[in-house]
Amino acid sequence: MSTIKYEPSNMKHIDEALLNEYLDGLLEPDACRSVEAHLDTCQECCSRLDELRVVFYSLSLLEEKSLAHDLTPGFLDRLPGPALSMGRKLALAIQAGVAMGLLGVIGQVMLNVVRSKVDIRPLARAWIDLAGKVSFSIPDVDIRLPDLPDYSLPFSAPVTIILLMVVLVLWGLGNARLLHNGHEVQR
Amino acid sequence: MINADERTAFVELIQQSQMAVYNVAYRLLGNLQDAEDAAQETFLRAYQFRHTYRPDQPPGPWLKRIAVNVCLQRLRRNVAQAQSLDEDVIQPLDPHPGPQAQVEQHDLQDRIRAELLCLPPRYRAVIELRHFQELSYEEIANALGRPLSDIKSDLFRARRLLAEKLRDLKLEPIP
Repeated sequence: MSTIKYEPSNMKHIDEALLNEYLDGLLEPDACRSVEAHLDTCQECCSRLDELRVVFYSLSLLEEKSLAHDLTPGFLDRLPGPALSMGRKLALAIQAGVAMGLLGVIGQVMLNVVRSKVDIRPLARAWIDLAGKVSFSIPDVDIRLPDLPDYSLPFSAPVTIILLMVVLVLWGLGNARLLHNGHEVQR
Repeated sequence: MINADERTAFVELIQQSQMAVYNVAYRLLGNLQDAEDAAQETFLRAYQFRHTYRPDQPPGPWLKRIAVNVCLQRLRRNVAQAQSLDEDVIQPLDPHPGPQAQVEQHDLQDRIRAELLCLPPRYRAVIELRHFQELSYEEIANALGRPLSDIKSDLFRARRLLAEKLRDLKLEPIP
């Protein structure tokens, strides 16, 4: 705490910090007595002290405002989502793996179908010819799909079906786990 | 992850302390809607940093300190907002108040609030922490993360400024 930096007899005024600490009740008894001795003889310091007391009093007059409504629902709405548990992370990983597997299988099947069954060259040629007749002519170019690498599955059809069944079972288990975790969070 | 017990405990905490937190924000921001938003933000911040709460201490002061910092950040983000007064609640200070208004307690409170809101935000914060939350100078310095000397300087200047502003109210000091 501050120490007295004046003697009452020499009429130096109390500095602002000391006056504040006096009002806050932070001065040691000796310092307190010295301040009070000065205040007894100094009208100016008394006035300054009174002004500060008015501040203390004014602030004490402020009443609490009542809340118009409960803040809890708003807080709960803005509460961030729950962190993922290990189980939930595992379920999501399974889901992602299943999705990737399905995409791979479906993509492979589609690729094979496109490669073997569908020849889009005549259709593309017809559209280009039509466009050339309507607006501009284009040179006769050879339209063909790029040669695709061979991604044929190294499995026979029954094995592929079994793999698909395994994938579906895992997908179902993953969903069940997610639903279970979801109920836990809601509870 | 929030579990049911944690959620229930936090909801109870909000219900117990929401009015106090709201009033801290209202004194610092001077606007009912802003105060409500700041109170919400305070609870979210408290939830985010719940690991900093010491269970051996009452949660009220912890929440109010967070509220002060939330309000200071809001005031810094929008300086113009710092000067805004809620016209429905606080009227700008009338330079020539009538005698009737002076004696009415409600008007008097509004005038004091208005003068408080005219102070710079950092002065308001130290007034709030000292006079309404009754923290020591050291605790205020810790709460605001500022040197003790700055806190004292701000507090004493804030009081002196308020004293000058409130002079015309001609209030009698408490002996």
